[in-house]
Amino acid sequence: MEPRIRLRGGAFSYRDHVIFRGLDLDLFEGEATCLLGPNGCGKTTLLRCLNAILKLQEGDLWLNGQRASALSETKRARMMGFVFQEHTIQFPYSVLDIVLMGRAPHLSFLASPSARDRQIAERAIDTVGIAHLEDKRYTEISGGERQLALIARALAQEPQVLLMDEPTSHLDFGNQMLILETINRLVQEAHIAVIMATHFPNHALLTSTKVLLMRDGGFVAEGAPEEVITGSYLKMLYGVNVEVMSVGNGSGRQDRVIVPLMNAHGTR
Amino acid sequence: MTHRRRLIVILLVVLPFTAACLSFFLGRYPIGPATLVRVLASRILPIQPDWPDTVETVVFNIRLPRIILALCIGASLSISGAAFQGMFQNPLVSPDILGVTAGAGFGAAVGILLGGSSLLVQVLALLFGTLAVVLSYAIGRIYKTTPTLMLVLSGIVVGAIFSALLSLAKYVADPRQKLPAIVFWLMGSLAAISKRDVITAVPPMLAGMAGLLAVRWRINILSMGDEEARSLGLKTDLLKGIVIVCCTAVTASAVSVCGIIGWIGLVIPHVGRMLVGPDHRSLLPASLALGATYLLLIDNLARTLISAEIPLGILTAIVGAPFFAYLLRRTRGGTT
Repeated sequence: MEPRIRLRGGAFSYRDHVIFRGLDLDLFEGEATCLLGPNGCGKTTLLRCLNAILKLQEGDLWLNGQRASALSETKRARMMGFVFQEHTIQFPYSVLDIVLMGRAPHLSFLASPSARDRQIAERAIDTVGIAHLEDKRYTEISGGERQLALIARALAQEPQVLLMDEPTSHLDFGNQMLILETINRLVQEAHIAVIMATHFPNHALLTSTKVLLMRDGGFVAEGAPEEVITGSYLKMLYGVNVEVMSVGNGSGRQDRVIVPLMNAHGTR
Repeated sequence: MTHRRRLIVILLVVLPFTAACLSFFLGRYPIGPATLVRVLASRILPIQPDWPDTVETVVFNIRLPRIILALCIGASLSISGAAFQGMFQNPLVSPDILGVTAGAGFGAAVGILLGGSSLLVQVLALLFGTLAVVLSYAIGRIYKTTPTLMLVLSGIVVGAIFSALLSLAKYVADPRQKLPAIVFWLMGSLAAISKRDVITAVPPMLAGMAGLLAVRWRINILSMGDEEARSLGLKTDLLKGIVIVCCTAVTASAVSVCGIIGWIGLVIPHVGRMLVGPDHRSLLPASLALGATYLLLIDNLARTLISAEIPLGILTAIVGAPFFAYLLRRTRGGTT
């Protein structure tokens, strides 16, 4: 199977400051990949480079087997959606207006969205379960709802790959689960390859099929979540001692959870 | 479409036309409705003129050009204000953010200093207004892209330079004739316009407005910020270039004809947002209609309120500024 995204030897630096180098990456359909690593390790920059918002300084990037550098902005945006962190905006657009923006790569430069584009946007809003917010102002809904609206906008691009930059970071407990469940559904039902940066090892355990551990601009480990989200790796990544526990998830299966150990901090 | 929205759309279409029709009757020379209709119709229908030649002159050489220009200039300043506010993601931006009015003011002052005709003044205003924007754009362009913040800052720089040059022009101007001429020009007025101004200034204004209307939906996307717009497949530099060229074409043409008229480009988009919401698909046409009507009404006041002409810049600020304060209070500093 051809990877949706293939990166070989990717490197990026700001002047002399190397953000990451020598990165290899393959993303396949039906996979949810989590990028885990401490602040400043290069996760966000990597996602931006994959989305070509930033330009890789070295290395080769292929999207669906085509060289990314040979693709126009429009073609790239049809293959790949970027879910930004929810943020405030200056103008109180409705949720539908925001999601409709996702149709831009499918429209010619002077065109406005048609009734069909509206349907696709409404379907995307439906997929993330916020149909009741369609006419609400984006500035007046909660942070979790804004994040869902931004996911819907990326879905309106009808992409095969979703890049997500810490989609759960500003959200309360309930909204975090809502986003993670939505991501799982997209990977399983819509056959979208997802790569998301996150600060929560537990979220990686709940959603991902593959985990990449990143530190100082390089991958230190890569594999199935249960293989790489271990006490020793997390200690190496964050300098924190953790306990990995197994809990019943109510449906007869066992889920793994990470519990950080506070009293061990002195040993950092 | 809801009932309220349909009503607003009808109102916005009807408003400028009604205002234009009524404006024909205003002025020192009284013309009755029946005569006016027949004078206007005589251009299309074979009607035997039974009115004095003066009526013809007043209608076609004085009132009609003035009404057309007031409508076009009001529409131009407002639509470019709305487009720039979207592009700069800031509802407090006005069309002169890239220095176009400062440049045009300096150009006009040079024209007056050279003792040139109104045509020379107009051409130099247009030239320097455009030059100021080109300079802002060139300074703001780094690494082959044009970050919005850099554009704002370079606009401030270029505006400051041309303001200083304008002060210099005023300082060296003959204080009895040329200085007052510069000062009056800077206050803005449609008193001295002619049919020729309609022919030279209206086409670029219409072209610029058409350009802005054509890309109006994409301004929504641009207003989300550069990175998000690029991620959505938008060629941000191309779109910014189009918006800047169109806004400069309309503002520089407007300013070159009537001098500097502030406040319209800042305030009218806010009124538009209150009526039709922030979506630029409806905001741009709404701003166009509101701005056209507003400047026409202001210009009617300017020519009828007292026996002398009142400069437009004074009236737009005296009416516009308190209204803006009211809007800010009403929305508590937010964006309506």
